[in-house]
Order: sequence, then structure tokens, then C-alpha cells
Amino acid sequence: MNRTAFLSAAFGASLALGVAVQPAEALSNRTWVSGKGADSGACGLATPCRTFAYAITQTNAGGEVDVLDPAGYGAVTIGKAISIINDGVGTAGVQIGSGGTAITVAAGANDAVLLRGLTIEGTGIGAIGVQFSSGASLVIEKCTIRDFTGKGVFISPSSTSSFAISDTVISHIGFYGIYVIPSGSAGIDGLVSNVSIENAGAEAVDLSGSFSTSTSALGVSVVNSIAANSGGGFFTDTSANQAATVLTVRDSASINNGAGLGAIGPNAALRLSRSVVVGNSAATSVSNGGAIYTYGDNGFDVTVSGLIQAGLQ
Amino acid sequence: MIRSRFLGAATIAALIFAVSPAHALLSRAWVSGHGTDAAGCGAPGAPCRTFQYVHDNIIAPGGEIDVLDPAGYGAVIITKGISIVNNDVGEAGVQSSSGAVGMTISAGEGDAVYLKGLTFSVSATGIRFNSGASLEVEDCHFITVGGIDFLPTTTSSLSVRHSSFAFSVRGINMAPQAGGSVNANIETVRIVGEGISGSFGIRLDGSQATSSTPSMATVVYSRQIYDSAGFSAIGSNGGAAQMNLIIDNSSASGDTVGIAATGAGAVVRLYQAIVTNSSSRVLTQNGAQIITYGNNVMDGPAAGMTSAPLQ
Repeated sequence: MNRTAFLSAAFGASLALGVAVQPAEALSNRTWVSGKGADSGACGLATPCRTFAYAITQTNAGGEVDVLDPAGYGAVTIGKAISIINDGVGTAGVQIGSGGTAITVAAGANDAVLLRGLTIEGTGIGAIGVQFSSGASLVIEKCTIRDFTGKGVFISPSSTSSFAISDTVISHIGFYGIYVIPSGSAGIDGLVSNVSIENAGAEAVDLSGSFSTSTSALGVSVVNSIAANSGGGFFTDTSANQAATVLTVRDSASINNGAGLGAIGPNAALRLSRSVVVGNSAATSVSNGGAIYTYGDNGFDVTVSGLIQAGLQ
Repeated sequence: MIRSRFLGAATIAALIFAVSPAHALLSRAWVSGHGTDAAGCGAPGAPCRTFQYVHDNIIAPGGEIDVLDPAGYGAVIITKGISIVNNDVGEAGVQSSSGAVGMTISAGEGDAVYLKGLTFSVSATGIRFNSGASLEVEDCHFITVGGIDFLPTTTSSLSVRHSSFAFSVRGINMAPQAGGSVNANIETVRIVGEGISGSFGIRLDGSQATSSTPSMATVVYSRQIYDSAGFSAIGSNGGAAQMNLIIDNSSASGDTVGIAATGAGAVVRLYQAIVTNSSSRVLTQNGAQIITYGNNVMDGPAAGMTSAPLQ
């Protein structure tokens, strides 16, 4: 009652003032977008909105923006906890023009963001597919991220956070497929699962501790994934006095890259199990104190020196 | 300077002689079974009807054609970088007249082609790739005599993911032509053959290749049954370049020969593979190699393989 009275009063006030203010509708926990929608109102099921960016403004933190039918829904910056979900209704497209970032996550320290079922296209001119610059966590599921000049997924938080990328394709990227490089004292915990990264100019996956002073090791696990036809396969690096890194690669393949695996810098560790590393210009690249541990169950096409044996337990 | 003067002149000429309607090419255009191929089509509210019309008239290079609803969208010849995306709206079909190829790709050297969610029902070859930087085929289904013929004349890459091939005589045929080489990744693919003479599931065939650049095809998490040869590699013309086929966590069964390698430079690697119920599990001929990491499952002995250690 109080709330209704307040809304009526506010509406009356705006009429009385003759000012075109936003209608004072309550935000929803679920909003809808459609190719036939319009960016006005509260984005309910019967009156969906047209873009992700507008729908988010009508959605409570922690809520969902859901896709009703196929369309392009525009580039978006996400500043709060939101899930954007296309559950197989057709293309939910996000394109970006020259030099731009298609989806930017710049959310609060406790905010969880989820992206599902999106087709994120740079059409050869956009710079970055998805950039995570702040937030508690980012989940990317069943997305296609293609044709960017810079990076496919760029994880660059300055406070400790986590991410998971699964059932996703990342291809035709100018530099890194997935680039994880926290800064400040940020730690990171990441999972890459059932992801194919192909035709990236730089490393398909790179976990870097070079900008982080985290006292706990930065960790990313890669499982059931493929890195192929790229500048490098699975890499991790760090620098002296920066965070240690652990990149664990299991049941995955690194094929036809510049170097298949890399561990560069003191306290940069790559752990490899049940994986295939074939057809790379060099099987491994290890320098400045980096280490690649093997569980003795991997297939290479050359005899690799310098692998450190680790026991299965 | 000369170049910008020339462009300036060309621009002025274009302005003077601008007779065609001023529709800029789109980076996204829609097709629908209810659409119409007419100038200016492509918005979600005014979709076009066929892939070919959009390719020829509406979409910019690097752009994306999206499928709005289920329909047959016709055979198509692709000559530029493009994406065609059906994200689960229902059947997005490609059919062709009897004996004709469903989709032909003759794109430029730097062009990337991406296909998602298409069904090819063709009495000949589903996709024939002649040229382009790369082809990605995802969530596609082939009810075809020949699934994919990948025949590049430069170094080109092929990715096939989450796709199936039924009633197939030739599943995925990668045969680099003069000057060409192949980098292929085939994952989570299912191929059901017809069991007839000369049939194969996945084949890397170097017999037409003249380049010294090696070719490499990796098959991961894939299943193949009932062909004359399941997975096979054929050495390059004169043995100039290696033809490398990697069978990783994949299976061949019910074949005349499960895994075949023929000719100098043909190298097949078996890692956590399964080869069962085949008349001959492996066949190595004429200087080719089949390398085992000792972690494969077969239903009997297989002679002629070379061992490589796990590391």
C-alpha cells in the first residue's frame, strides 16, 4: 500500500510538473527482449524490450534478462549482477563496430554475471568479445565468440574473482583466445571446459600473473578443450615478485600452434595430463624458471626434454 | 597520393553514376521461410528468403546471416567471408538439384566461413570447399553421399564440431590440391557409413598435394561406423609433405579396415582410440606409419604399428 501510494504520488508529481521523467515502475527480477520489442517500459513478457542494455536498466540486481526470439541485441556494459539467457530460441546476437568491446562486465565486487547462448561477433573489426574488468564471477556458457581483432575473452579484474567458460567456441581472434591477467592484488580461479579455441594470433589460452601481487597462486583448469592453429596453445607466465600461476590442462589437445605449451617465469607452472600435443612448431616453451609437470600419460609427436614428472595419486 | 586520388575519382564517379538503390550492405541479415528476396530485405521484420540472395545482395563481407524460423534455404555458392547461423530455431535446410553440390565455397584467401545449425540433404556432396582461409562447421547434419569435400589450394583450416553424417559414403574428405595444405580439427562428430566399397569416414588424402607444407587433421571425441575405411591417411604426391592424422579419444567400428595409412608421408597417431568389429583393425602400406601410444582399445591383435611412449 505504501509503495503503491508512493508510486501514485510520484506519477502525479511528474504529471503536475510536466516533466518527462522515467515512469517510476519497479524493476523486475526477470525481463524479456525480443526482435519485435521496443526500449520502453518494464520489459515484461507481453511488452518485451529491444536491447540488452535497456533491459538491464529494468532488471533488479541478481535478475535475468531472457531472450524471447532471434535478433541482434546490441553491445552491452554490465554493471551489476545479471544473467543474460538465450535458451535455444535462435540467434541472440551481439555485434560491435571497429575497435569496440562487445560485452563489458564492470560489476561490483559481489556481483555474479552469467552469459548463455549468445553469438558474439566482431565481424573482423571489433576488438574484444567479452571483457571482465570487475565483479565476483563470470560464467560464459554455450556462446560463440568470433572474428575479433584483439581478444576473445579478456579476464582482467583488479580484485579477486572467478570465471568459468564452457561449451563455447572462440575462433578467428587477432591475439589471445582467452587472456587471464588480474592486476593489483587480485587472485583468480578459473575453469575452461569443452571450449574450442582456434585460429588465434597469439596464445589460445594464457594465464598471466605478471600484473598481480596475489599471495595465493592464480589457478585455471582447462578440461576437454582444444587449442589449435594459434600463435601458442596453453600458456602461463609470470614475473619475479608477482603472483605464482598454476594452469592445469587435462583431456585436452594442443594442435598446430606456435608452441603447444608454455610456462614462462618463476613460479609459472603448467600441469598436463591425458592430453595430446602434436604438430606444434615447438612442443613446449619453458623459460625463466617456469615448469611443466607431466603425469606421464600424454601423447607428443616429439621427445620432450625438461618435463617434470609428477605422480598420479 | 596516387591511390587516394584514384579513390577520390572513383568516389566522385560513384556519386555521379549512383543508379542502384543506396542500400548499404548489412553486417547482420535475417532469412525466414516467410521472407521475400527483395531489395532492402534482411531486417528481422522484413527477412529475406534464401541464403544465396542475402549473400549476393545484402550482407557485407564478414557479416552474419541469421535464421529466423524453420525452412529450406536453398543451395548456395559462397565467395566471401560470412557466417550463417541457425541457433536451434528448427530445420534450416540446404538441398540441391539431383547430383549437385549443396554448398560451394570459393572464397578469398583471407576469408573465414562459419556455418552453424544447417541440415544438408543432398544426393551428392554437402559442402565443397575450394578456397578460403577457413571453414567452421558446427551443429550441422549431413544426409549426403559425400559430407564435406575440403580441397584447398592454399593453407586452409577446417573445423567440424558437434555434427553428424548419415547414409554417408564419403564422410569428411580432406584433399589438399596443388599448392594447398590442411589444418583440421574434427570434434564430437558421428559418422554412420553405408558399408560399401570405397567408402570412408574421415580421410586425409595427400595424393593431389604438391606443397611441402605438412597437413594435419585431428579427430577428437568422435565416432565412426560401417565404412570400407574408418579413419585413413594417404601420403602426399611424391611424399613431399607429411599427411598427419591424429585419432584422439575416438572410435572406429564395423569397418573393412578401421585405421588405414597408405603411402610415404602418411602418419596416423592413435591416442586412447577404440577400434572394434572391423575385418582388419589397422592397415599400413607403402611406407606409411601408424603410431600407437599404447593406450588404445582393440578387440584383437593389430600388426604393423609403431610404438611411441607416453610422456
